[in-house]
Amino acid sequence: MSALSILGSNDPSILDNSDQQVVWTPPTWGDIVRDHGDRVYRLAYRLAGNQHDAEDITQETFIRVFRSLDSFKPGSFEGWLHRITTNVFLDMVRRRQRIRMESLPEETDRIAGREPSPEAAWDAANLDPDLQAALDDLIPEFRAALVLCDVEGLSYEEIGQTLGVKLGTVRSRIHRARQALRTGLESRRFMRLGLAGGMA
Amino acid sequence: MTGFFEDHLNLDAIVAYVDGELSLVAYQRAAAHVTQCATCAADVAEQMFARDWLRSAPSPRMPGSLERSLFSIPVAMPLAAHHPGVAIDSRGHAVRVTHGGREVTRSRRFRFGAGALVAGIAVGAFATTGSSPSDAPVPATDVSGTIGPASVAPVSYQIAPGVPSESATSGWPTTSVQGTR
Repeated sequence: MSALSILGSNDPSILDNSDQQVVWTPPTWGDIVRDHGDRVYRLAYRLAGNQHDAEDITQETFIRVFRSLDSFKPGSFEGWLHRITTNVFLDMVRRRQRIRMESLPEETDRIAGREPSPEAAWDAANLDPDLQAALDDLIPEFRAALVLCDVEGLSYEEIGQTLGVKLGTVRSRIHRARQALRTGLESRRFMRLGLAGGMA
Repeated sequence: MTGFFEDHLNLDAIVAYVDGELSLVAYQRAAAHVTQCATCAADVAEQMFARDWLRSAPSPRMPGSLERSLFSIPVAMPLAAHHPGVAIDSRGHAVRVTHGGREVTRSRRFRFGAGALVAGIAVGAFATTGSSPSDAPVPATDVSGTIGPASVAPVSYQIAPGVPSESATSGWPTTSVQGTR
């Protein structure tokens, strides 16, 4: 392949091997939102466990993407998004832990008067509340590893890069998270059966 | 039953076996063990159950209102030099002047309500700049996605109804800008 044909291409995958300084041309903003919005929101939702936080995480993620677009290097755009989304989530969790430790009232930064959207009602009915509740019970770092693995389909290596941890840590987090998920589901079903039995 | 097999698979091997993250040789040895060890087979089954439960769960889709907010990010963080209502302050930060009295600079969760006011500009503005949103003269700090203490947006917003120039905005509170770093 000639240097000219490389220069004429926007495909990031072939630019890495080029000696030429080729400037990466970012896609339009609309394309980025359309192509990746649902994926980021899905990850954010499974991490945060509710629509409100998922929206905030998604929005913050895209703001950071917008601010950093010109310094993005060709590579995995999805991997970049996963990393930012997960970090925004963990940041949010740690901030709330700090707030709680300082004994401030919880949910101080919630914006009042937000109506649940039709989508929220659909989510509540269709997104398996037992699953989300079991996920919510996990330690956030464990939940992140599990969601990246089983919802996003990342390899252990990719998860390790996303979370900045070693492979052994990735394995043990996923293993323990799945164990806890299974236990959480069984206890919920047991509780429900018990309640139903008590009512009868 | 399982006493016959002295070496159970350790937790790392179990999870990697389930996720296909073992080498071929290790996978074959693990598979041979699992077929004859009830304890490890149960552990594998538990892992697969949780994995399949998550994989088969329906995916939430982003609400339309959120999608519109995401589309409007270039409006809320515009190319400062090119748009009316936007100025560069003395520290080189983009400063937006807009209507209303809500100070949004410090909030990490700012909404694009104010941005919606200029949504009319959005379409035209983005049509001319949308192909190169990276031209925005803001410091790009988050390439790696890591989040440090300086996660407050470098683009600052000041409230100064209808006053586009820097000199005109100088009379308005500047604490929000100074407080960002």
